[in-house]
Amino acid sequence: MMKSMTMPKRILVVDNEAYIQEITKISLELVAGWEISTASSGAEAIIKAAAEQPDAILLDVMMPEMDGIETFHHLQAQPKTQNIPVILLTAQLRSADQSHYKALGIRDAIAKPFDPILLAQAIRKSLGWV
Amino acid sequence: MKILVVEDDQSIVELLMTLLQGQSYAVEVSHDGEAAWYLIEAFDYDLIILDIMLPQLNGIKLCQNIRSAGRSVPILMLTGRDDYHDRAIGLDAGADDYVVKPFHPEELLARVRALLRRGDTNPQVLLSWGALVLDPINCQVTWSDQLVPLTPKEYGLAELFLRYPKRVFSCSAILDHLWAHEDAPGEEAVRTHIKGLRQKLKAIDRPRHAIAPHPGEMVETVYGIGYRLRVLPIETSIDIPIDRQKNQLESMIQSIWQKSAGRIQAQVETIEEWRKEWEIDPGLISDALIGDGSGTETSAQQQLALREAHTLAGSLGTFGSPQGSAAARRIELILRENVMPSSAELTEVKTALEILRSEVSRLSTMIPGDAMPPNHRLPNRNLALPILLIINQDPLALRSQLMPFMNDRWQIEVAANLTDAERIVKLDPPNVIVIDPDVSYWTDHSLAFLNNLAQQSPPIPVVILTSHIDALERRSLIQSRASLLLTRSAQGELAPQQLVNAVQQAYDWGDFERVETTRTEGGGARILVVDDDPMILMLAQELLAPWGFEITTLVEPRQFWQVMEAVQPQLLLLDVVMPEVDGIELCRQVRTDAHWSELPIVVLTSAHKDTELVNQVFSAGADDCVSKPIIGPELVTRIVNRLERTKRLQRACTIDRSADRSANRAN
Repeated sequence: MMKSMTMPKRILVVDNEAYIQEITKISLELVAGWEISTASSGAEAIIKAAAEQPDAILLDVMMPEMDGIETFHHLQAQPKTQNIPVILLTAQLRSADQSHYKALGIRDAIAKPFDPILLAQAIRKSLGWV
Repeated sequence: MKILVVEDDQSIVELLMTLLQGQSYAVEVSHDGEAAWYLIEAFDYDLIILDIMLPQLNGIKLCQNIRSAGRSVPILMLTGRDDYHDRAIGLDAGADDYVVKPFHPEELLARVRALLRRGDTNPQVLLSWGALVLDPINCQVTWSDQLVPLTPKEYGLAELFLRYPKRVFSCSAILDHLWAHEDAPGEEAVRTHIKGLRQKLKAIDRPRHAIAPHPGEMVETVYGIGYRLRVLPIETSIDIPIDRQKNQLESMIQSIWQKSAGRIQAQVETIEEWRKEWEIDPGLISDALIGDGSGTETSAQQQLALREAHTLAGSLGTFGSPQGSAAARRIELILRENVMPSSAELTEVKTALEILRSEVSRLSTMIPGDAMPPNHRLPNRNLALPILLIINQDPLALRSQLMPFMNDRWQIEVAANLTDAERIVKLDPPNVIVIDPDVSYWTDHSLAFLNNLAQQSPPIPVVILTSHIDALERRSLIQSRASLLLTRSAQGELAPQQLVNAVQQAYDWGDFERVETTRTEGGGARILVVDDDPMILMLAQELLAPWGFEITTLVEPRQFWQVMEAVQPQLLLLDVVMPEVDGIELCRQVRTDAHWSELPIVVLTSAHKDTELVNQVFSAGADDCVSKPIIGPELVTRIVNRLERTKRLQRACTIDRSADRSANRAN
């Protein structure tokens, strides 16, 4: 019940489109006060996740070369990143996908386009940070 | 915390009472299943310990009754039956745990604590408020490791507030939770114990420089209503951004737009290039198909266009253009589904591209740093437009008829037969479906399709054009999950505006079904609130939920009886003026229904001074009348009072019945 003084949460945002990265970053920084780092591809995300040890990873699904699901599998295969919770951010979200993602071990999937005001709240809810 | 022990063996009862009372729980005992059922109907318990072999009504049946009545109180079965089959029956009947006699006291108490935690919003083993910690295992309260000496009732109060941190408790509710009904004192006793608890907490010495509230402030008085746990200040509370933050965010998003507009225009142009090339010479593109020869090949340009459409679909809404997202989504679906798009689909792509260009240009006219005009402000939710699927022999024609009435508030998908419709539903479930039975013989396939829609989560509401349906088919349809039936006029046509209204109505109904009943801690009374104004429903929910009530809201009074049966409310809050069927009529119907005639009803009126209306409300059988605008404390107090009065009556009946039963047994 008591909330202690804690460091701000650190989130890694992964999206190949620069403007989506940017809009996600400022939404989370401004609304939740979290520290956001970004990656433009699955490969970059895997390196950054291992080095930065973020509290969570927000991962786009449809990316060229390595898509979000493949990136997730790589993250799971590494001991350094396998325990970092992953949330998918996807423009193609169906209820059947939700259960498939959860069965894979993905914490949640959030639909795009998202509301920048409510994104942080949705992430908190998905990760039980409320 | 109050526990009901249902057990006919007096020696076990005595052992349980000693153990449970030793942990400061209030304990009530019932020696047979039927008497226990009356008590459960009349009183709120935090836990029930239930034997199986009981006179009158056995434990399994009692457990099933409790669960069928919608009560979620934790149940621990305590029985001598140690067979795995018996355990399975007990758990399947709705028990949360199963302990076999003879039991070990330490294990039983640990299971009791675990079950009490399960019903809480606070699942911690140790309960805390700042540096104040309550340990339910040792029944101790400490402040920074220093023991706070409390009486059993003061401890019980502290535990109650800490277990239900958001709930307001009236004196009567506190009596219910902490005293057995035969020992319950007057409400004054509650105030005395609260005072005692506060004094002991106030006596705690804490450093002067401490910022956190003093433990003496832990219990807060809600004047005229009751007590609750004071909310601790949280160091970063930016869950709901203030307007300044929202404006700042809007301004920054506009800046990102200005920076990215060139890239976004290029994405639109990539799609346009694909469309033009396909229009000019499809053969050229089909020669360049990539793939394994399985018939699913697409050209590199189509793949690129698909990717750009996907990105735009997922981003334009965030920039403030749900219409742009919907248009890009439409293009994405056509590209994803068609290796060789038809000319009709290419026309659709062309229209969607026009929408995209116009939206990009609209967003580009905004200047960063300026406040957005009201119609451009960031929406709070639903950035994607709801999707309507039209299933009709000539769906494009119907679509063009409806478009002018949709005001860009819907994204429309079309299917000319059920097979196409099934594919679309699988790919991207729509929010509402309009189906014309002429698309197929109105047979098993159609009904299977409708049943499949009902299985979706959430179920998809359906508007059915019923021109050629006979009575038998109509009955089958009603038995399926179709939300709404429409009949075409004699000319076989339905006015587009009428159909659009029906779609909107079906969507709102669907929305209602998606709103789950607010279940709060403490297993409070179930209240059904019926009002056609969603704002009033939201307000009622906000006002009443902190009281531990389970609130269900209904915006569509025509669904009233269906929802009543599903929810089984203990109080009804009804608006008077509603379309189709008003509150007075519903009130009359409830009073003449044998099952519901005793249900407490509070009516909301907008004109309190209209004595004739107030007379009508009471003549229809309402118990109370509250005028709008709603004054929070007044509504809460009236509802709490009404429920407590009803409960007192039920309890009086229960106690009379118990006395009669004891007298009969003695005779």
